[in-house]
Amino acid sequence: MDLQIRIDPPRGDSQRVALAGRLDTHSYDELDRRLAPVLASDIRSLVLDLGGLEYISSAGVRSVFKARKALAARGGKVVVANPQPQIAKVFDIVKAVPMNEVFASVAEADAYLDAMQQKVLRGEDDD
Amino acid sequence: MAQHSEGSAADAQTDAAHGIADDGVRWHRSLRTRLLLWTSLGAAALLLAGTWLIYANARELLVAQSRHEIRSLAEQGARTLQATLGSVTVSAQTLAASVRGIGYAPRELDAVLRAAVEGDPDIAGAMLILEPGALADADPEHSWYVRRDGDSYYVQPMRYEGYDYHDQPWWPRTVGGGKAWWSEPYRNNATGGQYFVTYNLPLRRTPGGAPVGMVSLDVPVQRLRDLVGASATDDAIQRMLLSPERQYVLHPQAALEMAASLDGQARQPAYRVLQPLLDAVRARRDGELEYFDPRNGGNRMTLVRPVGDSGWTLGLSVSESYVLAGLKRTARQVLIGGLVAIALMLLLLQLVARRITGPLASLTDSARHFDAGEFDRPLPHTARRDEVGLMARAFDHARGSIKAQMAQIEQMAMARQKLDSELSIAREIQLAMLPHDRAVTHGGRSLRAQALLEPAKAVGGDFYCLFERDDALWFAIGDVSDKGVPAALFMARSITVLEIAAGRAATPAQALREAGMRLAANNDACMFATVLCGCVLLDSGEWSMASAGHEPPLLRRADGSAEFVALASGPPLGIETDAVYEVWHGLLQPGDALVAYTDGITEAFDAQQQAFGSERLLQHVRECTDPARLCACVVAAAHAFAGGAPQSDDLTVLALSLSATTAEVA
Repeated sequence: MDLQIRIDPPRGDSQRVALAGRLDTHSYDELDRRLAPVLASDIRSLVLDLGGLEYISSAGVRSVFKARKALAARGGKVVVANPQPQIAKVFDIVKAVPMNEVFASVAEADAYLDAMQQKVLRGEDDD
Repeated sequence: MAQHSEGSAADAQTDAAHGIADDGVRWHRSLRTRLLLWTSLGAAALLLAGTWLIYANARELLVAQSRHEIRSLAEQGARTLQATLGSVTVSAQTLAASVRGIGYAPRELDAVLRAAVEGDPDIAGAMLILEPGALADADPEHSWYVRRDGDSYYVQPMRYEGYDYHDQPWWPRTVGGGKAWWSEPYRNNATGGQYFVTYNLPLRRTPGGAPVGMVSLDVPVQRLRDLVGASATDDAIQRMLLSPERQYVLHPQAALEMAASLDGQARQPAYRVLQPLLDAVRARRDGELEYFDPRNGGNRMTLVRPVGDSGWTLGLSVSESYVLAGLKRTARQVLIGGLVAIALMLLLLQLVARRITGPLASLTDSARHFDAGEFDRPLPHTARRDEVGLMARAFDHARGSIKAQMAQIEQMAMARQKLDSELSIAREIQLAMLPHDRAVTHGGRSLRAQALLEPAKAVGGDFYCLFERDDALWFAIGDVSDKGVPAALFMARSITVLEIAAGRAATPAQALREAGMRLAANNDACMFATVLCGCVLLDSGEWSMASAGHEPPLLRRADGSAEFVALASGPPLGIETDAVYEVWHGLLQPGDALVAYTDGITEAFDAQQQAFGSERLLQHVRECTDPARLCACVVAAAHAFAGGAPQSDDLTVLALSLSATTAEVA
C-alpha cells in the first residue's frame, strides 16, 4: 500500500519514474495502472529511479517485466538506476533487467541512454 | 407550559405502552416543544416590538398635542384675564374722570362710587379719596369706600377715629409714585374677610398735574380664580395665577395659595428647576419649562404667560404621566390582548404539532421493527400527500432497498461459499501435484528427499517436484510470481512443463532452457517462475544444479557447518525465450544435505517489516542437528520470527540428505 510513485514529465523520448516504499503484491496494481499511460506514449526509454524503494516482491518484478515487454515491442528499454543493495540483489538473482542496464545513479543511466541514442543516430546516418 | 408538560406526559405514557420509554424523546428536546417555544417567543417579541412602536409614536403625538393644547389654553386664559383686569382699569379711569367732572359734591360722588360697583360684577368695592382742596381750592377733604355686601352696600369713610389712610402703605405708593398699580391680595375687616386685589389710580386735578387723591377698585380674588378656571380641580391641566409680587393666588396645592410665592419655591433645592420660569415671570415674558417633577415622579411641562401689563401672571402645567395615562392603559390592553392571542395560537399549534409528531412516532415505531428484522410489516402514512407522506414513502423505499440488498448479500455469501469450496478443492488438487517425501537407496547409500510447502492463501505459486531417472534423483523447486489463483494456474503449467523438460534433458541447464522456452510462449500476462533445478547421482553423490533466478541453495555438511552454494543464476522462466543457464557441480558426502527454499522463508516479515533474511536461515540450518527434521526446523523458525504477522508469501523448503545405509555399515 505504501508505495510512492513520482512520474516526471518526459524529456525527449525518455521518461523517469521514481519509486519509493514497498513494491509488493499490494501495490504492484497501482504501479501498473500509473505506468500504463507512460508505456502507451511514444517514449523509447524508461528510467526507473529506485533510490527510495525498500522492498520488491515477485509481483513487483512482474510489473518491471511487463514494462520491459511493452517497451521492447517497439525497440525501447527499461533501465534501472540507484537501487538499494537488497533490491540490486533481487535484480541480480531474477534478472528482471539485464545487469548491464542497472546503474548506480540516474546520471549514469541517462549517460548510457544518451550513448545508446547516439549509436542509433549514427547507425541511421550510416544507413 | 402546562400544555407542554401534559403533552410530554402523554408521550411518555404512549412510549411506555410501546415499551420504549428508555429511548423516548425528552420533552425539552421534542420538536413540538421547540416549535411551541420558538413560535411563542417570536410572537411575543413581535407583539412587544409592535406595541412599543405604536406606543412611542402615539406618545410623541400626544405630547405634541397636549403642548399645543396647553399653549392655546394659556393664550385664551391670559386674554380673558386681561380683558377683565383691563375693564377694571377702564372703570377706574372713568370713575376718576367722573369725579373730576362732579367736583366736591359728596352725594354725587357717593352715587358715582356706588354706580361703579353696581355697573360691573367684577368690581366688589370702590374707594375715593380727595385731599383738602383737591379739585377746587376750597374743597374739604373727602374719602369714601363702598363695598357690595349681599344685596346692600357697606360704606365707610377712610379716615375716622383711630384710622387714617395716610398711615396705610398704599397711600404714599399711589400718590407719591403717581402711577396706577395692582395690589397684592389681602383681606381685612373692610373686605369682609374676602381676599381682594385692588387697582389703585392716582387722581389729578389736571392731566400731568400732581396727584391730589386716588380712586381704587376692588376685585375679589375668587373672581379671578373663577376666570382662570380654578373649579376644575381634576382637569389634566393645572392652573396657577401669580400676583404682581409672584405670590400664588391660585395653585393646584391649595395650601400654597396666598401663602407662598414662586420666588420662595424656586429657592427650595427640589424646585431649583423652576428658576427659568421665575426669570420669565420677572421679565414679563412668555416662559415654557419641561422638568422632572419630584412630587409625582414624572415629567411635567409648565408655561407662564404675563397678563398684559397688569403685573399678573397666568401659569398652566400639565403632567406627562397624566397625558400618557390613557395611552398606557391602551398599551396594557393591547399587550394583554396579544398575550391571550398567543396563548390561543399555542393551543392551536399544540393541536397541529400533535398531528405532525404523532405520525413521526408511528414511523419511528416502524423503524424499530426494521431493527428487529421485520421488513414485511406495512408502513403507515405512505398515502399522505404531505411531508410525512414523503418521509413514509422514503422509508418504504429504503425498506425495499434494504430487503433487496440483504437478498444480494445472501447471494454473495452463497457465491463466496461456493468459491471457497472450489478453492478448497483446488487446494487439494494442487497439493496432490506435489510428490511425497521419498528415500532412494542405492549402492549402500540412502538419499532422502523431504519437503514442506505452505501456501499463503488457499492456493499458491510455490512448487517442487522429484523424480528418478537413470540412477539419478532429479528435483526442482520453484516460485511463481505473485500468489493466489493466477500463480496456482501458472504453477500447474510450470510443474508439468518442467517434468517433461527434465525427463528429456541431459543437464538441469538444458531442462530450464527448454521449460523456459515453452513457458515464455504466449505469456502475455508476464507471469514468471524462478526455478532451481538439479539432479543428484545416487552412486557417487555428485550433484549438478542450475538456477533460473532462484534463491541460492544451502549445503549443510555432516560436521554441522553450512554455506550458500554460490551459483550464478539466469533469468526466470517465462520471460526470455532463449536464455542460457550454467550448470554447477558438487559432491554430497554421507551426512551432507542440500537445502533449497523459496523467498517465502527469507522474506518472512515480522510486525516491524523486518525480513527473516539469509543469515538467520543459515544459522537455523546449522543448528538443526536432525537431518530428518530440517524442513520443519526452518519453517518453524520462520513462523516464530514472523510472530503474529500474517504470512505474506507462500513458503517452501526442500531438503535432500544423503546417509550411509545401515546395510552398508553392517
